[in-house]
Amino acid sequence: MRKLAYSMDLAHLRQIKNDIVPALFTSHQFDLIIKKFSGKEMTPSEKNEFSRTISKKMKGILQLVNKQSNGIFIYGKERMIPERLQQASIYLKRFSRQFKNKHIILTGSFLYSKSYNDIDIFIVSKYEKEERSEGKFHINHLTEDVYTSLFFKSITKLCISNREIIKYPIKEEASLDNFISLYQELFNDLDKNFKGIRSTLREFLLQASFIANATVPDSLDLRNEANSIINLKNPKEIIKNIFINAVLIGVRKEKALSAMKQMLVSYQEVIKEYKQHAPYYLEVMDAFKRVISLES
Amino acid sequence: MKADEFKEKVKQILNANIKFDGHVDMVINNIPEPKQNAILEWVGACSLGIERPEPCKNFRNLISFIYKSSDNKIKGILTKEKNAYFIELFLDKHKYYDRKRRYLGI
Repeated sequence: MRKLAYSMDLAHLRQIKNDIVPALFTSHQFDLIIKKFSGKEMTPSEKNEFSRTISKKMKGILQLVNKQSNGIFIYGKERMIPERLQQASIYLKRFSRQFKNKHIILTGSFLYSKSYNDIDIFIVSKYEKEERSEGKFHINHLTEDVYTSLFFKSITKLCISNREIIKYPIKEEASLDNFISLYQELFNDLDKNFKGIRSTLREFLLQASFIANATVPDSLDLRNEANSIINLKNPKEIIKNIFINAVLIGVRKEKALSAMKQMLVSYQEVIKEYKQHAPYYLEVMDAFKRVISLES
Repeated sequence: MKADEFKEKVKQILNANIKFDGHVDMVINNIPEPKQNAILEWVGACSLGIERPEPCKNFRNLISFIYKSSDNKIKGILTKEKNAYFIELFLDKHKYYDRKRRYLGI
């Protein structure tokens, strides 16, 4: 039962109760499953019933699902390079053996682009661990709260996984403060031509779609959009426009006005001390001013 | 150079008894001297006003300078009070840098 214990999601189980009761389990058996995976103490007769009937049935269902999917669940197959998908399946099995009973996801440019820097492996576990590189693999450990994040929703639109990916609602709130910070960081990265600019830009674009209530883009969409922007003559102008659009569409007028005015005051104070950088600051401030002008 | 020596040099450059945050010792002890010197040069550029600070949304009296190494593996944040002294140097990997940015509001 070890494998089942790790993959059981009680919220999902409750959601699908009508599909499995009475088709697969009786109502009483369903309650016992909930009790067992909630960590509540069971009576000896309940334990006996669980191991004698329920666990066997659950193991059988797991076998059936794994047989049908071969233990591999593919999302966004139509956008993947077929040969890469084959290779990725082999890697996924290898990592599933290396990290037993863990949810493993393989995603990123390896699946859809001829050129790639590394192969992104995400391992969902209970505890946070340092990311590391193992040859061509970039291994990231994520904690279970990632399931309800915007980042997870985006990466799992185009990935292969050793478990079926349940679609949870995003719990993360769209934060205007974080979005402003990303805009500031992106401007700085562009100005200094930092190596990590594409990563900051992808994060900015993802947050922009979230703030504006648009469809969450997958990693290929983000990569294509980021590359197009970077290759423009004046990427700052389009970044400002994306920022302005997202704030106008997705943020309450009063909140947007207050945040933009606050940012202008902060930058005006910085300009007093660092006059030599005024042209840069004025360009950053331009987007804040335009939001105020359009909202007022 | 060792982390303690690096910290002393930072204090000398800034002429301030600043605090250090993040895994500064680990970062400095694990990078070669040219990379250590690149960070010191950046600190010097911040001190001379060559580098550009950003306002901190969560602390109205603070501004911060951002450092990113050429390989994008080490990130730094040098915090200063507006029109006053340097306060703190943070050096760490990406994940902790993101947390620190969120904390400061930059």
